[in-house]
This record gives sequence, C-alpha cells and structure tokens, in this order.
Amino acid sequence: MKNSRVFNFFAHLILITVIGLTLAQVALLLIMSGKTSVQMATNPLLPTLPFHWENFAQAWELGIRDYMGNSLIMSISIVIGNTGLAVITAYVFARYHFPGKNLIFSAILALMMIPGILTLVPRYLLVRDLHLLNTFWAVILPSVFGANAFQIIVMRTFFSTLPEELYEAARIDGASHWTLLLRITIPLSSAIISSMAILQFNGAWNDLIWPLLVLNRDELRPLSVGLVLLSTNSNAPEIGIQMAGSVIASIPMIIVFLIGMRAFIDGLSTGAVKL
Amino acid sequence: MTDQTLSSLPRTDVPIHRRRRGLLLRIWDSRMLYLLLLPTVIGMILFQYYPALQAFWGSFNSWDGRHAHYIGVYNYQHFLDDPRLLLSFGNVALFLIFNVVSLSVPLLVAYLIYRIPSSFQRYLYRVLIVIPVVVPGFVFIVLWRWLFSLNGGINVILRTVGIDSNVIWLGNAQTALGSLMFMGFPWIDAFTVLIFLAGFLTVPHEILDAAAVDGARGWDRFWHIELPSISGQIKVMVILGFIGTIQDFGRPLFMTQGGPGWTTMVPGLRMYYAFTQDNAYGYASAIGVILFIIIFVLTLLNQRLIRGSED
Repeated sequence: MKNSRVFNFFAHLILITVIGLTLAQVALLLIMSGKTSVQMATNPLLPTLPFHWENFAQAWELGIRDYMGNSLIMSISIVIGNTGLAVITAYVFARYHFPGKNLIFSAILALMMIPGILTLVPRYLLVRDLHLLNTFWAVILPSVFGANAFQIIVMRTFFSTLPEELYEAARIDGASHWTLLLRITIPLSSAIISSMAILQFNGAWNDLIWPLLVLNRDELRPLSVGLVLLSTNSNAPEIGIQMAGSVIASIPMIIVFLIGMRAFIDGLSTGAVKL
Repeated sequence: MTDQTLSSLPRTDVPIHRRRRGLLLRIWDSRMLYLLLLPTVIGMILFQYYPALQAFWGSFNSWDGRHAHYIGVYNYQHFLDDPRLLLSFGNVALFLIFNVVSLSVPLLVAYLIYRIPSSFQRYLYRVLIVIPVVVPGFVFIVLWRWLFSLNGGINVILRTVGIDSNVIWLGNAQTALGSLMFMGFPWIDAFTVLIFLAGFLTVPHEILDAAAVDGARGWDRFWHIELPSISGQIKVMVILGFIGTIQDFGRPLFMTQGGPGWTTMVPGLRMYYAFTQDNAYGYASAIGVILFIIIFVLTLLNQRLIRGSED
C-alpha cells in the first residue's frame, strides 16, 4: 500500500514536470506576444504589464492577414479534396469485388514506400511543366491526388469491419449505392474520418518546404512560409510581433481541435489497436 | 450520374467465385467502380509513380531540369568527392540515434499515465498532452530560434541561475547540432504518447493478476509483461521516426542553413541545395535515390522483424 503511494507521488511529479515543460513553451508564446522590445530586454520570460495588444494588430497588418487567407484556402481545399477522395476510394475497396481490385490496391499500398524526398525534384519539374508554379494549384493538386495512401488504407480497414447485415437490410429497403455510402458508411465512421481529416489539416497547415519551393511571390505564401521568412528576415519585426503572429497562426488549429478533439482521440485510439 | 447506373453495380454480398460470368462482362459491370477510382489512380501515377521513376532516371544523367545527358553512375561516384554529403550522413546518423533515445520520454509518460489509478486524472493528463498540438510546428521554429539566440530564453535562464552564458547556440560549431536535437525538449509528442497509452491499456488484466500472484511487481511487471506487450507500437514508432528523420531537413534549413560551416548539414538539405542553388538535378536525384534505398531496406527489415516476433 505504502509502495503504491510512493509510486503515485513520483508518477505525478514526473508527469507534471515533463508536461509542464511542454506547456511552458505554449505559455511563453502567449506571454511574449504582448511584449514590447523594452519589456523583452528587461524581463523576457515572465508576464509583464501592460500587455501590448497592438502587437497583434501590427502582425496582422504586416502580412499575417494575407498569409492566413492563403493558408485557409489551400488547407481547406486539400482537406476536402483529399478526404473526399480517400473516403470514396476506401469505400470501393472495402465493400465491392471487381476484377483488378488486388492489383490496384497493391499499387496504393506500395505508395507508402515512396518517400517524399525521392519525388521532390521531379514533382517540382512536373508542376513547373504544367504551368502551375505560383498558383495555389501547385500546393493543392499534389496533396489531393496521390498523397492519400495512408488515409485510404486506414479507412478501408475500418469500413470493412462494418457489419454486412446493415448493408443487406438497407439494400432490401431499396437503398442505392450512394445511400449505402452517405447514410451508412460515413455516419458510422465519422470518428475515423474526422481524425484523418484533422491530421490532413494539420499536415497542410504546417507544410513549409513545398510551398516555399513552388510559391515565389510573397502575396501567395501560406502562414508557415510567411511567418518563418518574416522571422529570419534581416529586418525582422520585433520578437513580440513575431510571437503575436505565431499566436494568430495557431487560432485555426485551436478551432479545428475544439471541434474534433473527442473524435481525434477516439479515432486514434481505435485505429491504434490495428497498428 | 444516376441511381440507375449505380444499381447495376455488382452486389457486395456475393462471393467472387460464385459469379460465373465472363471476365469482360464483370469488368463492364464494374465500370462505375473504376470511374470512382479513376481520380485516385491517375493522381497516384502522375504525382507519385511518374516522379519516382523520373528520379531514378535523372540520377544517371547530368540534368539541369530541361536538358539531360546520360553520364552513368557519375552522380553516385561524386558522393565520395562531396565532403558536405559525407559529413551530412554522419549527422543524420546522430539524429537517428537521438530520435530512438528520445522515444523513452513519451514511453515513460504513457506508462505513468496508464499506472495512475484515477480515471479522471488519466483523462486530465491526456488532455494536457494534446493541448500543444494546436501550436503549428513552424511556430516552434520561430520560438526556438529566439530561445537559442544571444539574449534568448536559454541564456536568460542560465544567467538567472548564475551561469554567465553568452553562447549563440545555433551559431557555434560546437553547439549547433546538439541544439537542433535539444529543440522540442522534452520531446513528448501527443500522437506517440496516445499510441503507447492505447497499447498499455490493452494489456489483459488476467495476465497482470496472474503475475501478481506469482510475486511479479514493479520493475519485473513492467519489463516482462507491459513493455513486451507494446513492442509492436514501439517498433512502428521507431520506424516512422526513422523514415521521418532521414528525410527531414526543415530544422537545419530554417534554423542554421546547415551551418555554421557544414556542421548541421543533413543529406536532405544537401539535396535541397544541389537542387535549388546548384541546379544539379541529376545529383539531387541521386541523393534522393540513396535515401529511398536506405528507407526501403530498413522498412523491409523491420517487417521481417515484426513477422519474426509474431511466429
């Protein structure tokens, strides 16, 4: 009994320290986003008053507004296109038999073995030859088409576990195949579909190197590229404004996670068993 | 796209061997399914298979993106004359080792959460771990660039505890590589913790009870029962970490540009520079091919290992 109390004490101590150090970085972002350069010089790590909200307005005017718009357009298009396509593809593989099924599915499985670094140079040239450089399509198309093998595989596994009786019953009631997809498959798989969509949004929102390569014009850049280049610039804005921009950059992610947190944790937990 | 065409689809509930019909007829019957798969198949060929093959082809050519001529294995031989590349393989090896070692933190965190009796506290810790996920990765680049700077967070903390530190962590050849690894301390990634935690939660109670009767507790119980039961998850995270780390060059690119000197150069970054600065597309492709081969061999080896442990 005494042993387990000692264990519990140390468990909490370690957890609070480790998680605290991680959360401290998030807190630091918030604290620094309200500081002027004078406050940064005297007391950079602890909260200082007054909190300079105007940092946020300045960051917004400095380009974050445009970057935010660009990021939203690209990320939302990618999530809708990629997830929609993955759901349809996974559904076809999970619930139908047709000639060549195994061959096509193996080709999708094999995609997992093609690392992004191998295709980076030719993909850039492909996008250039399609005259898509410096358009949002250069970012959206490669992410929507051909980059959803993982989503397809995870969803197909889940869709195949749905009971056939449900489909049988619906078919007897005269349900069309679209109904089977829209009324049975998708509602029963909402947790796994939304966690895949959240992962996809997260990936698209964070993507840094590809948009840097294919978008050279500042007015087209997403937040990731815009913010990082802003902070590495020789006449970079002061740290407080950079951090204010960083906080603004996190807001869409916060919204996405508030909506999908439950589904994300559930989806990940059920998906994890099959790893 | 009418329901009429859709209802002519083959039924899902009829096993394939029972449909004794001609192959061509079955293909014709499935035309709607092929149509549904068409965007995925075209996209996969256009944006994955074609570029992958082109990378192999390009690695045997001198190629500036428009004109190419065949030069055999020269690009691969050129590796040996490229000290930047050789150095970068040493660096990436260190990153790979560090990546495996740092997995012990999420493992420890997941285990401690799993062992806490109160389900409310377990839930609370899970939520706290997921919170930092809302901060995009590129924000941490901005944050840590400041933390490592002359009057940045790390030096301020060191000065507060009485060490007069004026190290520019990313600008010093002795500290730059270590700093890039330290970035993200204490390295708990919500995704990894949740995967490990899910694994621990599937350890059957009967086994734990039986072990307790036999007198196994504490360390024995962890080492002989709980840890082996999540070895699958650990292998997956190790291999995913490996694949991610060996390709990644975002950190060196934006934190140090591979410097100072070439001390933080990694193969991916060498490839990026060959591509963006030297217009050496063939050479860049050759580096990509080598990284692909390393990843491919390791993934196969890993699958063999997983399969071996299941037998």
